Amino acid sequence: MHLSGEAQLSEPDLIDRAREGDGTAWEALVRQHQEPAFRLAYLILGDAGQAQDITQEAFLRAYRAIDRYDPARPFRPWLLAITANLARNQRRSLGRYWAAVRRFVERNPEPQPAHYSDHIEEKVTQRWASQTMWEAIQRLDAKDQQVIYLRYFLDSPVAETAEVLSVAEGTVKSRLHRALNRLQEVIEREFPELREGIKT
Amino acid sequence: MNELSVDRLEERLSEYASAFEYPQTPDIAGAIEWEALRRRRKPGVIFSGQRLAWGIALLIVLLAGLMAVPPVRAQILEFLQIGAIRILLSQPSPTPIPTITASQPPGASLATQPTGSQAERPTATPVPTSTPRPFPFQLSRPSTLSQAEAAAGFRARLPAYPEDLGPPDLVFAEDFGGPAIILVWLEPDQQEKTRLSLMQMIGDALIEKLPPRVIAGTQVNNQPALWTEGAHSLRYRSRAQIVELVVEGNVLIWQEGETTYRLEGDLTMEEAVRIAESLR
Repeated sequence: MHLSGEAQLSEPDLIDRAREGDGTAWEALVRQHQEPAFRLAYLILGDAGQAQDITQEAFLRAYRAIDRYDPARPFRPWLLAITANLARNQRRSLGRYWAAVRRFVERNPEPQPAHYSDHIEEKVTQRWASQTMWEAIQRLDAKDQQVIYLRYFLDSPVAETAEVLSVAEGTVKSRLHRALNRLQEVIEREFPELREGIKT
Repeated sequence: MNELSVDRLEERLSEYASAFEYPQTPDIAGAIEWEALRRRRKPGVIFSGQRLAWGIALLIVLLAGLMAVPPVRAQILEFLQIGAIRILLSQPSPTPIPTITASQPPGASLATQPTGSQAERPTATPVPTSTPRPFPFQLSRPSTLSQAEAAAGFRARLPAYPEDLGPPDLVFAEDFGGPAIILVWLEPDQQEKTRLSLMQMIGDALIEKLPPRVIAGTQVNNQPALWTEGAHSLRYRSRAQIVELVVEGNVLIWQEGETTYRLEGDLTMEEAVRIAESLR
């Protein structure tokens, strides 16, 4: 396998090779970026199977459009933008179904064991807080969600977030500020337990 | 007084986000047949209505003649493409595919490869999952023209010829990797039979067409177009599934701006071109 050799090439080199039809170079690029793309799709869709399909589709579309890609720009935001668009479109069509599934799961939580050690309890609490925060974020509109996912969940710098969203960096900051204010309102109104957890 | 501060929220959000438990990232790179994709990228001729002129149409005719000889066909090109429609010039090795029932547009029989199937298709992308999908693939339900336009994000054009054609009887908004609108006119006295179908698609849509019996070059509004005759298969990807349609009508394919058009019916080439040039 010459994957390890491919992985050492710079991103523009890998893209050049992929353009020339080198499938191994493209595969190396996919390996480098599949995790953030999958995670973003998962955050937007809330379902691993759907996220996998969308991530795969995003890479296929990126590959088909590789001749139109500007190599002077970083690859990751371009790919994340494709992924986010596909995931949003998918969610729009499946939105009602998944909302119903989520409501069902919320009404029928998995039974918890009676006792935990302190360590496990802490982990479970954190997991609960992360999941509940995610649920609160999902109450926001798509624009607010996306900027939060990119900045906090994927740790995308402001410049990269701006690139993915096709907006100016200043817009990212103002959009983020607005999204946090809305999130604060949602938590105050609908997630009192999370609110207490945040304040402690 | 006791309100949650945004600064505190931001701090906790970072903390919770970094502790967020994602499902394990699947091996996307390993799941896609990159070699098959690579083969699909070259070699071929992609015709752009904006850049190429009459000379290209002559080239199509020339190539179509050469394609009649199988060894030449294999050595020269693997496909011809106009806009979003690619005509493969070599028949991939046949592989049995499982079929599932789906709603069929008039005039087409449908076979799909469901996600996770064990069968392999030459251009299929296997999705390694054992989880049953909540939604088996189905073509969309017919909608109104305005609904389809809203879903696809572009306005469909309608033929002004033949004069008695009227509005389409059925309209579908589809996703072939990019938005598409399909307009269908039924035979007035045989509602189960298609008189004409007109597909319009933009963006990253891609439909592959297996070699028909006849391929010829022509023009629509002075731009190169392709004319095909004989039964052939259409194949496209839709949400990680490969869908294959068997089409029996004659087909005219052309491109105007960003839109690719595919007109199908029991037509002569001259009649099809006349209809194509009447789009408003």
